[in-house]
Amino acid sequence: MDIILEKLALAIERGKVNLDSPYPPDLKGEIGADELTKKALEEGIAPDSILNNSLMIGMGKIGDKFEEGKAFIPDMLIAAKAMNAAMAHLKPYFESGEMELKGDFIIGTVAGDLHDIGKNIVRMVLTGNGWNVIDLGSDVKAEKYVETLKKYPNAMVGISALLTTTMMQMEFTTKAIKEVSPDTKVFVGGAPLSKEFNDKIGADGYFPDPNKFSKFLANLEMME
Amino acid sequence: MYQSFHYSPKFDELKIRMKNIIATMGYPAGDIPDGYNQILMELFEKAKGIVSPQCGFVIVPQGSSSSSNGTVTIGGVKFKTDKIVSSPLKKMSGSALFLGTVGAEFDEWSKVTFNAGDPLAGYIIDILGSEIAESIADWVTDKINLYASENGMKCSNRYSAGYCGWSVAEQQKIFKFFPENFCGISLMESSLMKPHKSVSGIIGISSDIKWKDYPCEACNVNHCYKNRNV
Repeated sequence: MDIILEKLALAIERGKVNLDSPYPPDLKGEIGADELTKKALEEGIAPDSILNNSLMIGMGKIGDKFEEGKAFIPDMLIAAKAMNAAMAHLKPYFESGEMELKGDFIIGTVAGDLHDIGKNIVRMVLTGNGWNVIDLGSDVKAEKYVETLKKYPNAMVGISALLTTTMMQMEFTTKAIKEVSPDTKVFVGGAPLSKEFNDKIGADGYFPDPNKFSKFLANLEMME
Repeated sequence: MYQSFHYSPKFDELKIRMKNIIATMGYPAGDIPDGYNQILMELFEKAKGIVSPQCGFVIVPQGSSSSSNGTVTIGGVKFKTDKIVSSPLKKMSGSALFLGTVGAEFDEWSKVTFNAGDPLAGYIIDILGSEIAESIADWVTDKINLYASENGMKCSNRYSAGYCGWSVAEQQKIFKFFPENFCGISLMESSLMKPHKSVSGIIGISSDIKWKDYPCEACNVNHCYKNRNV
C-alpha cells in the first residue's frame, strides 16, 4: 500500500483529525486525516482507492478494536470525526457521480423520546463508513419516517429509543413504515431493547453497538 | 398543599465523581488516556458556567408500603413500584418526593457541541450531565436526611421511576405532588423530563426505617447506571 494511504489509515484509526488537533498526544504536531487526504488527491491517487484502501481500513481497525474491548466509544467517535474530515475532500467526487455512497439510511429517535446521543453515535459511524445518513433528529413521528422514505425510496431505516415508554412507539412506527413500504428494512437500537423485542415488533434487526451494525449493513450491501 | 423546599445549590457544593464519568466512558479502572482526560477536565471547567442546579422536595406525612403487592402508597396515591422498591420501604410512615435538574442550558450545550462537529466533546458533555444530575440528587438527599433527622426520623435509600423494576411511566404520579414547572422541570407525555438531565424520586421516612443498598443482584437491567453487576 502507498505510504500516504498507510498514514491516512493510521490517522483514521487513531483519530488524528488535522494538524491542529491535540489528540492523540503522541501525534501532536503531525498532519492528520484532513491534510493527508488532500495530499493523496494532489498526488493523483484515485478517490475510490483512498476510500477503500485507506479510510475504510482505518475505520475497520478501530471498529475491530471496539468489538474486542480494546477501544471505547470515545475512540470510535474521534475516528469517525477524522473520517468525516477526510470524506469532506471526497464529497465533490460523490456529488459528481464519480464515486457512489453505499446507500441512504434514514435515522431518528422515536416519537416522545429526546435521547439522541446513541442515535448520533450511530449516525457518525455510518457516515464514516460511507452511508448517506438522513438524520431526522429526535421525537420523530411515524409519518415523518414515511414521508422521508418517499424522497429516499431505497433507504433503510434506523429507529432509536431509550425509554421503556417510548420503545412501544417503535412497533407503531415499524408497522407504519412496513405498511407503505413492506420491503424497507427497519432496524432498532437503544439500551432497553433486545432481539426478542425486535422480533416481537416485526423489525429487521437489533444491534447493541454501532460497529456490529455497520458491519452488518456492509455485508447486506454486498449480498444485494 | 404539602410542605415544599426549593434550593439552588452552588456547583462547588456538588460532589461530582469523576471516576463515574470515566467508567461510563468505558475506562472502568480510571485508566483514561491523557488526551481524553484533558478534554474532560476542560469541559468540566466549562460546565461550571453552564450548569444552573435546582432541586427541591415535598414532605408527605402519610405513606405505606406493601411489599407483597409491590406497591407504595403516598398521600393516597398508589405507586406500582415492584417489590425491589416496596420491600425496603415497608417501614415507611411518610415520604419525601424530590426533583432536581442541571438546567436547560446544559441540554443545548450537549446537542450543539455534538452537531457542530465535535461528537467526542458532545458525548462527554452528555455523560458529565448525567453525573452532575446524580450529584444534585445526592445533594437533595442530604437535605432530606437532615430534615428527617431534625424531626427525629430516618430515611431509606432513594428510588426513581424507571429503575429497580419501577416503570418510568409512574413518574407522572410523582410530578402531581409538585407545583407546575417546579425547579423549571416539566414532564412529557412519554415521562421524559425536560430539561433532559433531571432526576426525580421518592425516599421513605419513618422513625425506624433503614437505608439499604440497591439490590442489583435481583435486577436484570444491564444498562442501569447503578448496576454493580456490570
